[in-house]
Order: sequence, then C-alpha cells, then structure tokens
Amino acid sequence: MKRGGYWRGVWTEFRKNRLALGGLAVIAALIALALSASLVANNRPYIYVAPDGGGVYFPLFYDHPELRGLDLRKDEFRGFKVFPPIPFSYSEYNLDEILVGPSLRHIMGTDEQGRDLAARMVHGTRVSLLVGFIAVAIYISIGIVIGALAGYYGGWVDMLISRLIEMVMCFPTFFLILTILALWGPSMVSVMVVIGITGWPGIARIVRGEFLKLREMDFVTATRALGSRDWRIILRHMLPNAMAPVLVSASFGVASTILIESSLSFLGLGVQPPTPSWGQILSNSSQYIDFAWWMTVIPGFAIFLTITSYNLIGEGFQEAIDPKSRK
Amino acid sequence: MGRGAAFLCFLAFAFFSVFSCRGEEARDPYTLYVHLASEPGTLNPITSTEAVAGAVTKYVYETLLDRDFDTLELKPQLAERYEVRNSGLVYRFFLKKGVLWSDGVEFTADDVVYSFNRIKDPKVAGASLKVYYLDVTRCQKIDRYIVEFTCRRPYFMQRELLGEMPIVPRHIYDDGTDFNTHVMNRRPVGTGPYSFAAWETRKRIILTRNEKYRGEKPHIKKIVYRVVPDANVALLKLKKGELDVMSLSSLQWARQTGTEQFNRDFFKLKYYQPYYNYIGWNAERPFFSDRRVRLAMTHLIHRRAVLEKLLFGLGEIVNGTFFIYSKNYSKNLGPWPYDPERARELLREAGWADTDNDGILDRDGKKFSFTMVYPVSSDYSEKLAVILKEDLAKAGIEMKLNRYEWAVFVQKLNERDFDATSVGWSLGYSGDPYQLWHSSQIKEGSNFCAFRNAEADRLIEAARVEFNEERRIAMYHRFNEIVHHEQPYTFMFCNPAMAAVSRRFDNVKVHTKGLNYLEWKVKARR
Repeated sequence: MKRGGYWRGVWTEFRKNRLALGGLAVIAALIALALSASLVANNRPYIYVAPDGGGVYFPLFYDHPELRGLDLRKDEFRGFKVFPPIPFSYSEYNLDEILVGPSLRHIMGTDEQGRDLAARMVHGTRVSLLVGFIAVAIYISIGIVIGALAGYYGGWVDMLISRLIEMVMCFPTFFLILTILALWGPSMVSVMVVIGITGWPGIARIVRGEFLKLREMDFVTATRALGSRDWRIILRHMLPNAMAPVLVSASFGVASTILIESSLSFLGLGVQPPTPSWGQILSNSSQYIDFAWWMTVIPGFAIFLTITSYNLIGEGFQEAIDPKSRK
Repeated sequence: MGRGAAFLCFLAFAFFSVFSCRGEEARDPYTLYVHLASEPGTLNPITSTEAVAGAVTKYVYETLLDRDFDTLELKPQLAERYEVRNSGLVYRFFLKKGVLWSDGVEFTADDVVYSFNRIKDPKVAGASLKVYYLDVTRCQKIDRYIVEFTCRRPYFMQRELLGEMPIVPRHIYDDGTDFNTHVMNRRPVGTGPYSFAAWETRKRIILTRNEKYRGEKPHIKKIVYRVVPDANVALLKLKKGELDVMSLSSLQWARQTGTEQFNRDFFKLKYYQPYYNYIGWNAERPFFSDRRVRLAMTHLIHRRAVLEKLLFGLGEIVNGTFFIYSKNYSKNLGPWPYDPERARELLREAGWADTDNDGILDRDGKKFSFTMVYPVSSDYSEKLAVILKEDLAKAGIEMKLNRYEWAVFVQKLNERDFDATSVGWSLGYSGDPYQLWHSSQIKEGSNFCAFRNAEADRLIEAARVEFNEERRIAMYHRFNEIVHHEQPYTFMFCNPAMAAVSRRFDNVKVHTKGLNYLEWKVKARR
C-alpha cells in the first residue's frame, strides 16, 4: 500500500514536467517502432490475393514456399496487395539507385549500395534501443548486488568493495571497451556485455549510499527484530526504497550507452554488417558527406533525439523523486 | 549572457582554426607533399612488407639492376654489367665504382654479400622475400667490385630477382645488434637520389635531395610524406594544397574530384598495375571441394553490375591469375557470365537441394551455410559481401560475414581457417604462379584455397626452367585454361591505380611502372 502510494506520487510530479513527458512519448514511439520494425519496413506485403482465384497469402507473416524468391512489388503480380509503409527490406540493394536523395519512392533516400535508408533506420532502432536496455540492465543488476552488499554489511566488506569500485572507476571505460572488443571480436552481444560489465561502479556507489542511510532507519531495525533473514531485508524492504535514484541514473545510462554503441559502430567495432545500426550508417556517411547529406543528417538526428529524450526522462524523474525540487 | 558570449568565442575559435590551417607550414615550392595512408613500421627494405614503406624506400635505396619505366627491361643501376654462366646457374655482377652511400662510405661487394646473407638468415623477418631466394645457395665476393651468385637449379626469373634484390649498407647494420629492430631501420642510409632527413612519428617522413648523387639530379629538392589515415581528410588536404599527390578511391575519382576547379588544380591520372582482387573458395571445406559448386558461385556473382555501379566502371573483369596486360594472360578466355539459372543446375548436379523446404539448400542433412571473411579496412569487400549475401540468399545459400582486423585476417588465411574470402593480390611484372598455385604451397605457401591439379603442377614446374619466352607463355596459357575450368577463385577485377597530382608540376607522365617523381619539374611561379 505504502509503496504504491510513493510511486503514484512520483508519477504525479513527473507528469507536471512537459519536456519529460515528451521524452517519454518519443521513447515509447521508438520502442513501438523497434518492436514492429519488420512490419513497418519490409519488401513482402501483409496480404496478397492472387488474381483469378489464385488464393490468399500472407507473405509477411508466413514463408509460403510457392512465393519464395518472387518480388511481389512488381506490376506483373496483379491482384490485391497491401504493402508496409516502407516497402523495402533493410538488406536488399539496388545498384541502379545508389545514393539517391529523399524522394517519394525512398523517403529518406538510399545509401551507397542503393539500400533504402528509411528501412535501415527503422531496423537500426532495434540495435540502438536493445543495446541501451540490455547493457544498462546488466550493469544495474551487478551494481545493485555489489552496492547492496557493501551498504548493508558495512565494515570490512564495505571497505573491500569500495576499493574495488574505486579501482574499476579508474579505468578509462571507452578504452577498456575497445580492448575487450579487440579480444572478443566485435558483435552486438559483446558490445552489450562489455558495456554491462564496465558500467556498474556508479550504480554500486548509489546503492551503497542509500543502503548505508536506510539500514539505520527504524523500519529496518524493526524487520531485523522480527527475525527476518538478511536477504529478505535487502530484497523486500530496503531495495524498493533505494530504487528511485538507481532508475534516474539508469535513464541517463541508457542515453550514454546508445552514444557508446554509436561510437563503437562508427569505429567498425559495433554491430556487424549487414545488420544496420545508426552509428554504422553515420560512419558510412563520412565518405559521402559532401553530397549525400541525408546519410549524415538522418541518423545523426535520430541519435540526438533518442539521447535527449532519455536525458529529459532522467531529469524529470530526478525532480519528481527529490522533494527539495518540488514546487 | 555569459554563456552566449562563451559560445560566440567558441564559434569564432572554430572558424579561425578551420581557416588558418593553410598557414600551418611555410610552403617551399621545391617540396613535394605526398600522401601516405598509414605509417610504415620500418624503412628496412629487406624486412618490410608494406606498400607504404616501398613508396618511401624506392627513392632512398637502389638495386643492382633496375627496370625501365616504360619497357620494363632490366638495365644497370648499381651494377655496371652482369654475366650468366654455367647455363643459368651462376650470375656474376660487376659493380659500379665510386658509388657512395649517403653518409659518404663507398658501396662495395661486401654490402651485396651482407644483404644476401641477411635475407637467408632465419632470424631475419621477411618470409615473403625469402621464398624468392630459396634456390640461390651462395653469394660470394670475387673482389671489391665483383659478386657471384650460385643457384641450385635454373629459373627464368632468377636474373630479375637477383637484380632487384634489396641492398642495405653493411657498415651501418653489421654492428652486432638485432637486424629486425635495428635503430637505423627508422633512419635509412641509401645510395639513391634522395636521402633520409627526418621521421616524425604519425606525422611525416622527410627526404631531401642527395646532392652527392652520381646520376642526374631531380628537380624536386625535398619530399615530405604526410601520414593521413583518413582518405576523406586527405582529399580535403589535397584540395587545400597541403598535399600534392594522393591516390584516389573509385568514389573519389568518379564523384568527388569532378569540378572544374579541381581539374584546373590537379592532373587526374589512371593507370593499370599488376593487381587483381578475387573471392577465394577454400577447396578443403566440404562446400567448395566440388568444381561445380565453385563454378556455380561464379555464375551467381554479377561482376559486370558490381564493376559498373559500385566501382563506377573503373576496372576490368579478369579471368585468371596473371596481369591483364601481360603476355601470360589469356585474353581469349571470356569470363564466366552471370547466369543464376546455370548456377542452380550446377548446384543440383552437385547434390544440393532444398529437401526440408526451408529456403536453404542442403545435402546429406547439412545446410549450405558458409562464412566469408574479409579485412575490416576494405570498403570494397564489405560492399561486395553485402551484395553477394543477398544474391546467394536468392539461390538458397546462406552466407555469413566476418570481418577481421588486417593482422588477424592474414592469420586466418595462413591457418586456412575460412570458407571463403574476398581479398586483393599484387603481383610482379613477369609473375611465376608457383607461390600461389603449386600444390606444394598448400600447406605453408600462398596457395590459400588449396588448389591441386597435377597438370597445373607440371606446367608450373616446367615453366620455371623454360628460358624461351614463347614456349613459357604457351605453357601459361594452358595453365590459365585449367584454372579457368577449375575456378578455385572467382576472379573479380583489375582496378586501376588512380592518382591526383598538383599542376604545380610539369612533365608528370604515366609510365608502365607508374609515376616517377624524379622527372617532375617545378613550374616557374606565375
């Protein structure tokens, strides 16, 4: 009861911040886009009704063997067909349409192999969001466990863990990531794991601080007096009360992770082709920067928009949980 | 307010720094600024394998014989003349007298003997150079100005290999320290028309004219090689006048250097060099051990479209391993056409069919799914790979891509740890297919794709001891037919070398061998 009340209050405060709400809306839209990427950009129609009673097909949802290898967009396939808004797949190329600017046919233009940029951007959303979420989820989990142990037990445990945190914080993260990627080989999974295992010290510090504060509070003493086990006190009673600052830090974390992923892709160490990612499109664009502006501007703007949205959410959240900033 | 002012300051600073680059260095008209895409690891001509090192050392070091820029005939350089004795087993070179290293010490037979012994020394790096001298057993000093090489068996390329053997100064290197890591590898001393002046790490290498050079002195007094790893940045620097020479990519040639202004400031030069790129199918992998499958792959690649659209038509489709403009190349063997229908037939014949109806071919329960590897630095390979992946998918073949950093990539090739690869190959002017195609080179040589054919082996061996050019060419033409039939590679293109050269210079000519800075003249200032 009490907890629900707290989060409801936070949401009430959060809602007052228009910018933060806007950021939330943008992220929600991007998540929807990432989940439905194959439905939004695809070279197969949702539905195809072959003429003269030839049958009804759903090529986008089911791999009909008899339609394999056919390009149903061609006029020679008469009949009723409904295509996604972007009727191109992210990997199909057309050497006759290399680096064509935005037009009705290709709303965001094409890249250096004549691939539709809109389709690649839509599918690239997946990589950017997924890398952000999973990497941050990994480091939050690590951070919470380590921070909770340090904060709850204190003493020599805290002493050891704090030194460990300081040690890890001393590493220049980006170069550490570069080194690890060089060892493991670049792939989406390694990028997520590497960011995940290098990002936790900040979260661990926050959780430790919260726990140091919380463990002196009466409700914790009470639970302990009732004979609860340590893990139960940590998980059921203390952690929910320490989550708010962690989530604030997480939303900023997602933003910086997306930026790191883009930088790694820019350096060719991120997602491997032909899977698109925004950073990779941006990286390719550097060769054509003098005449193919759409290759630079569109992914650049997408990265900017996403990161700004996450930062706005983080800021809004921070204000909402901080009683001092309430007006 | 304060923030706004700071931002303005920043803008002003950014603006200033962009437009002040021009004044970075007072320009001397007699200095040639050359683009270097990466920094060489060493300037030792014996241990170095990089093209960027060769671009510098070719003006510092000389060899016994030298090829004519146009006819490619061998002519004397450090040697005055030579004799072939004992029916091609003994080569005697008579050295020029009074040739000086740039530090003033005289060049003698000792330097030649020392250099040869270093090449043969197992502790010295440079494996690719060593294979050429395997059959040369001895190099002997006859007197101060005469050296004699003894060979195990006759070989038609021996004369040029000995004539073009790199030679380093013995008095510099023979001091008991390690040859591979010798300090003078970064401060070369040569006999050539330019001598080394400075090397600023990751920035530039500077050569100055050798004023004591015995031959005709070049007009350009100083060559500055600027290290600029990013080709886009290099092109900007070229346009701003901070570089005089750079090689252009096909994109830069076709789309980014077409303005009137550019053509007023620069010559655009295009010439063919012995080079080709290919997709190699590792015959030791189950997919590609069958000739029909390899041929099917060739039929599935639309080489004409890739060349026209991706490379802007800059290049020629090749059908074999020799330089397209040499007599060894067989012009009559037309490249296999793009023919997906025929490819499907061939795959069916080889037993590949989609029995489980999942869209991917299979045989004996194994899916046709392989991985192609290529170096991360190759923009062309990446574009090609992405296109190929799509096209093969349509034929029911799954191709995965794996790109590696160059050193790792070379290791993969050497360990034969790949299914297919896309890579380029630079060859010599005469070219002996032994290193690439003889079955003895499958284990450790450069026969990466395990090409094995008894007749080809016999032809390669026979050609090595055939001194009659016509008969040798006939053997190579037969060899080409075998390779064409077997398709160990899908041969792709011979792309031209493309360069932009500032019009500050006169007498800029394109030779068979490429560009020659030695003959360029600085135009009088207007």
